[in-house]
Amino acid sequence: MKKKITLTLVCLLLAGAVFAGGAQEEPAEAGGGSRVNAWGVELPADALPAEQQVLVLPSQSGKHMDLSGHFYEADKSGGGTFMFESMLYLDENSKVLPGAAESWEMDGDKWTFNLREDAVWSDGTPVTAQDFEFALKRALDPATGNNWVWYYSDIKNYSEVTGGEMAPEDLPVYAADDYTLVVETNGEVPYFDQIMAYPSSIPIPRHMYEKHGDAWATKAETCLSNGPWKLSKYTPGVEIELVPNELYNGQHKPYIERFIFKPGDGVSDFPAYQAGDVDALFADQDTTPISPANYRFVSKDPELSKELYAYPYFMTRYVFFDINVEPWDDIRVREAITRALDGQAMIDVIYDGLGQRAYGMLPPGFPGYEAGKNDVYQELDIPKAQKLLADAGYPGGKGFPKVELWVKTYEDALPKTAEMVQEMLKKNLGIAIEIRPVESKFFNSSFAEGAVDFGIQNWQYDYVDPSNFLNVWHPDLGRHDDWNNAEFNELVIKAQAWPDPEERIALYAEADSVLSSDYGAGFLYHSGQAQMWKPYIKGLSVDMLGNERVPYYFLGMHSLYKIAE
Amino acid sequence: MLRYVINRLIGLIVTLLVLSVIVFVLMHATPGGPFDLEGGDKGVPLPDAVRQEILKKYELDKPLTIQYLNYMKRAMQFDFGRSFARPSETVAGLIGRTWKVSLQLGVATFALALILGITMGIIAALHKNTLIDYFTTTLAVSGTVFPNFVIGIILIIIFGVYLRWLPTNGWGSFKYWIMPMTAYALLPMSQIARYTRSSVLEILNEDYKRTARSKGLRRRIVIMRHIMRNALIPVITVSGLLFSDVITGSFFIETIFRIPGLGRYFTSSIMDRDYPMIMATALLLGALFGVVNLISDLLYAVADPRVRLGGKEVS
Amino acid sequence: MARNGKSYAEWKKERGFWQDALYRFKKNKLAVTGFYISVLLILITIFGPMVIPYQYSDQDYTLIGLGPSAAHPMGTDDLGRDVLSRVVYGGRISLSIGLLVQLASLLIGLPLGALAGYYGGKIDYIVTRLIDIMMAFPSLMFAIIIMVVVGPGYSNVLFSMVLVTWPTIARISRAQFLQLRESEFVVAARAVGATNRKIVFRHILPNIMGPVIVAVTLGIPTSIFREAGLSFLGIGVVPPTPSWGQMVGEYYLQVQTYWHISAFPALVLGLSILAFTFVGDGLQDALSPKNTK
Repeated sequence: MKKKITLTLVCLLLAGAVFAGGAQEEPAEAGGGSRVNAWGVELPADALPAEQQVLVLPSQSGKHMDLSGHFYEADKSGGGTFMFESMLYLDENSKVLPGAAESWEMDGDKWTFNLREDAVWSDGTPVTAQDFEFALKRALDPATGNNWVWYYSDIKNYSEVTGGEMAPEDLPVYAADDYTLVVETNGEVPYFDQIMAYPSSIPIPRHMYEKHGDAWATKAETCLSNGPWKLSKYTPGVEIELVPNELYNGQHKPYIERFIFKPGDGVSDFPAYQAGDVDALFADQDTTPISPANYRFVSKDPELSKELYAYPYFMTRYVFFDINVEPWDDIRVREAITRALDGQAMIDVIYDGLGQRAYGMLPPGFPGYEAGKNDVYQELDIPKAQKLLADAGYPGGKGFPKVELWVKTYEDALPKTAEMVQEMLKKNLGIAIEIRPVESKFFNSSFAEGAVDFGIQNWQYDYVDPSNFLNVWHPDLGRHDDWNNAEFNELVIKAQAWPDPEERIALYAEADSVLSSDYGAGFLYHSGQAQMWKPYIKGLSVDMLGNERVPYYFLGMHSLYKIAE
Repeated sequence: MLRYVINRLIGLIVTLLVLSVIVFVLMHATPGGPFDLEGGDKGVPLPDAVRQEILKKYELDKPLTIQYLNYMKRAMQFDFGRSFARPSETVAGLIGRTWKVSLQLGVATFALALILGITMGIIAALHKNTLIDYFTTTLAVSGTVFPNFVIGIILIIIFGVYLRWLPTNGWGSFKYWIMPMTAYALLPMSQIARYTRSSVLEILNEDYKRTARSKGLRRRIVIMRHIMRNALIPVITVSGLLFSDVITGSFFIETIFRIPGLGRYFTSSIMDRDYPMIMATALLLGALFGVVNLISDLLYAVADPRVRLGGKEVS
Repeated sequence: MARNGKSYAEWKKERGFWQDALYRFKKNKLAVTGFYISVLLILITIFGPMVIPYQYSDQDYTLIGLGPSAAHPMGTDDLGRDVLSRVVYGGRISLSIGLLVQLASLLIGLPLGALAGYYGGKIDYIVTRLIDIMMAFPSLMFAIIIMVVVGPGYSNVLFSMVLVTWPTIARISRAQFLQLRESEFVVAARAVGATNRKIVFRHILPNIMGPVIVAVTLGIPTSIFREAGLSFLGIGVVPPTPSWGQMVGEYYLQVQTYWHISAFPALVLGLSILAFTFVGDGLQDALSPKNTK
């Protein structure tokens, strides 16, 4: 009896706590409020007062804010890309805009960036060219152990410095004066401004680094920012809050004053969005904010579909073959596999139609892409595939060796793609393959060792130039040495330093065709991406093609503002 | 008794040492190292010099036995190194910060499971093999039916999305505790309920009832007093194992509810190949289980003098 | 039940321990229901795939994500596969893992525990240490590490789970042997000069089968659950092989889009766990010699 009474009391207490705790997190506002925010920007007429311009966003658990020295592990989606102003910026049309630098120019293999002279860190110290110089040299210093170092391979002497033969101080990146940074490149690199428009191309507050070492980027007190926002609360993986950096005086003053990030693994982000606990669903480049299943659910829902923003994305997914190993050394086998895979079906089934079939490495809209050019090599043709397989000695799939299809597991769509590949090969060619799902780390290390003969890979763009996609296939510049084609290698190297921009692009396009026709890969698809934004968030960017979204790394946040719900 | 405790503690230390070797070997046997190219799918190979520097910084280039001995030497001084995955935090600091959260959730969960489980077990036992028994037992056992992450997501959708009574995920004031507690408590609750039921049944069949009844006491008091004392002690000592399980945190619950606890790190540190974290959590858990088991056994011996601790050799 | 005029106590004595247990078990409705359900599930998973017209791996892109219908009673999944056939085939995987793991643990744990409990001394010390180490930290974490080392796949799952499960059986076996070797009839048997082998097989084993059977039966749901956990983490069985845990783990987040793909395996998973648990509990009640009600 006593137990039952206690039990009832406990239940009542719990219920009481629920309602007392309430469900609202934001305090109710008083009337009025300023129309001008912390940076002196006047808010649009329909915007809420400045104090209520707060966004709550989900984020993937990063580990620190050191985007320059350790880009991969940094809290990119947790505000890291908002706190720092990179040298330059890209807008939603991939046009280069001023950032920390107000002007820049290329002179042969030398780039000069002229910084704003009034730029300061959030503690008032000026942002100087030496800060940028320090950041870049540190990023390429082998002792830093930066996984992202390959991104700057266009800088002159990159190989010597990262190879340990040249001291980082001798890297040809230097401050001609306090506000002028000079970078020497490997020959002429016309897209280098895009390289400097990336979130990793930021300055580091040297005075903080000298005092605190690597720990500078892990605490709010020491992590200075030169961007519009600064850290007020930071426990990696637990809570992140950004507040206005009033000292920011750059070109891109925003409307939103504060950010609250909810770090996690993203598993329950979708219900959180539905409940209004977060204001948006979007992510950094490497993660899909909306799973394909949720995408389907949302696009069918009359209300939610209005909050969905889908857009094409520069990415390519493909199966690759190690041509040094049987049976992949036979080009007929590679072609047969390629022609038996229906990439369009994969887009329809997995992505609900968001994306398109791929015939080459370059995605549609990318410089060098020509619609229909590589179709003839890669398009679906099951009868031809069957004939090729028979010619190669495996009629109907008989006698085909056991092969394993390696696939990473960090994203749902990958194993699904693998399952579809498996089924298509079985149905169309009579080949039974096994799927080997592995975690990213293991996949990458095995792949680097050359232990993966057959697998699924993808590549997303970092900057808009064909070299970003095609260098991947060069054994020295990229990561694929399982396919090695002399003609391709020659084209890629030649194109790197080619002076005439149009001819240069044409060279890359040709290289892409070599890749497609020699079946270094069986290209599957270019999938799109999707974000979700609550209806009370306005100011999303619209690009030239009419796609509305918030470009993630780049200037997307600055035009957003909140209206009444 | 004291000798027994000391023996057990020494045994525990030996166990932990062996455990540390096993975990160390297994860790290094897992393919892929902690600093192998991460970053989703880019996987562009690192220049060798960069790679070497990373390995050197974390002592991963030394032979395995040296690495192990260095680690143990430092561990003896309670220096568990820095987490590879979170280089800004020491392992001790990281575990301290995250375990506090898991502990809070775990204790609350266990309390809930204990109260509900014991209640249901007693009710079921008192009405053995009747409809009440079947109903209560089924109710209790239903906690084992769905994995707790399934219950979790259903709770989130019902109470977070549709009813909007509770925050969908996160950690903070008590309202954040309710759903994870509920989802997490179901399994231990059903174990406790079932064990209570069988333990109470055992007592009910002893002579206690008859003896006490013969003294003329009312049935209710008879049951409550004697059941409480005799049946619950074995339940509580068995719950020791459940307790240590619950307070270390559940990977599933913490991931789904975005709780910054230690449970997430069990699995993520293995996937990240975060060697210092893996070693430290293995040792911590081993020590915890060992100590809790010891306390359980002691309580059991105290409660039931017939139990003899320690065995004798047989010729 | 005819007792031919004898008293309950006499009647009970005459029937012997096992038949008495059977009688008690049959009285427990839950246990009996559980038993029938378990048998039914096992039969369905064995014979189901032979009867169902669809292959569990056949994809049909025109039938994606359909709810239950006449042609597909459990609907289709996101690759157009028939959910019912996947649930039935997945049952084969899940149930066989549950049963085989317990069986293997029995074959390993019982003799080891027996040796330790009966002979004591050094053997006991080593075995107890071994058990302590294996049980020193959460079995799931151990299983995960092993799976990461050896890679995913059915046989590897079996391997890693047996590795973490045998200590449970061994511990019970050892405790029982410890207790029983000092019991009266063993002492008496030894006094009469019976060999160790005879004592173990004739006197001790039959008496410990009770708790051991209970442990094994109750261990089946635990093993099924653990396999579900491993598959949820993506280190269990390899696609396209389904298992109940794998299906629940893959689709539980999509419950708003495709409730049926995770609901059905979850229900069947739950049903089997319930069934085995009831059977185990019933066996425990029935085989416990103290129950006289």
